[in-house]
Amino acid sequence: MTVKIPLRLRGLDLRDANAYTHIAPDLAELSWEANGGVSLAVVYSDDQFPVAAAADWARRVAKLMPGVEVAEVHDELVSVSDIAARAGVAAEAARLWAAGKRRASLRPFPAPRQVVGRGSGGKSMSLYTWREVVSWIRDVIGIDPDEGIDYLNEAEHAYLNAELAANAASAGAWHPIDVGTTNITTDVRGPRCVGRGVVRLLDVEPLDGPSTTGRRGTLRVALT
Amino acid sequence: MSAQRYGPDDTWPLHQKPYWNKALAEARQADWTLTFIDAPHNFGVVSCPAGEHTFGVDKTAVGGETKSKEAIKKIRWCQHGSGQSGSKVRARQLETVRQGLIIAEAKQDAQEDLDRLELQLRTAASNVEEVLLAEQEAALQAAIDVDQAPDPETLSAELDDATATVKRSESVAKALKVGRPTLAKPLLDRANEAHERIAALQDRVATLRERICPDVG
Repeated sequence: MTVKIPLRLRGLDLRDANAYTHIAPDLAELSWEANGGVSLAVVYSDDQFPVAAAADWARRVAKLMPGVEVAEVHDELVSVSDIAARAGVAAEAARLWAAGKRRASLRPFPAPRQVVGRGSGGKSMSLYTWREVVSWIRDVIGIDPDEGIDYLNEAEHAYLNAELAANAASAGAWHPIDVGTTNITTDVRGPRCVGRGVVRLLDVEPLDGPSTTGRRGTLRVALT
Repeated sequence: MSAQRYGPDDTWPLHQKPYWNKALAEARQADWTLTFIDAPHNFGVVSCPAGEHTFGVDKTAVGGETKSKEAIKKIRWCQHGSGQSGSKVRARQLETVRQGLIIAEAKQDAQEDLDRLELQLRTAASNVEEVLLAEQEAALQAAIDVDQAPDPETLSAELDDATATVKRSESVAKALKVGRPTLAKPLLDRANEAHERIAALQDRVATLRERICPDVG
């Protein structure tokens, strides 16, 4: 079964169709989508080690798309109404599942991951992790609302998030390179990918002389 | 970006992969829109009516079939599509009813076409019957006329009488030829012509007799 690993992106809003034109062609194998304000690059992996494959894709995203990074593995949260719609049952049936009043003898329904308010009146709404809910529906109800797809288990999920955090920490570290006092001619103004690194011009000041538009400054290179 | 935007009422461009066309058709039916980018690796972007859910459609990237199946789930799970005022189950039920209505309407149209054709056929049959009746009447009249016609024997007898008359005229002309040759010549010529015409008529009478009674003679 194919493992679905949604990677939540930072620095890209895929609700805007124009944003899709900035996706590097080498990343076309990923599935790009927006779910409200959450932009995702989804890895569909048949690999023996899907966590490693996803971590590798996250590194490639950071390398090929300056300004965009993978924040974490997205854990999709769903309401009772979403569960009912996805499972193709009445909302009341899903509510009874979630309340433990129906089909709870074999295996208890997953606990909510989050509870949010529903405006005034003190009402609240429970949100559940879809990958846990779909597992319960498959086991207990015997139907498959997410056919052909598997998700990472809790341990894999945590491990991949740790990997992504380590990636981000490494990418953010600047490594100064001593280039001496020789003038360097460059047209770098904003961050730019150069080879395996990102080049950014800092601390710029105008060069002497009224006829030049050049700048003197420090060139900083971050290796990914 | 020089992208073309297609709404649910437009005809969307076709993808070269059939599995993507299936997903695109479902999106269009659920009132989603397509931003057709048509770049070398990028077919376009599909957005739900609220613009909150979007997904990219690549051209030939690896895993396209899985992505298209997942896109269909995304469309079905989105609460902004057609039937957004209720659950997606109800939306699907409404869609089923809509499809049923389309089929029923098509059947009704077909039935009306059938009725119209049947009426046309009945009219045509009636016309043909009228024509046949007229023809039968004409044939009957012709048969009556034929019945009133003389039979070959009568005709043959009349021709024999005619031959005898011509022969008598011929003998008179021959007798006249001695004393009044200029007066006799036209009479003899007319007698010869009469003989030729009688011979021709006798041939026709013989033919008619064979047609009426083929076994005779």
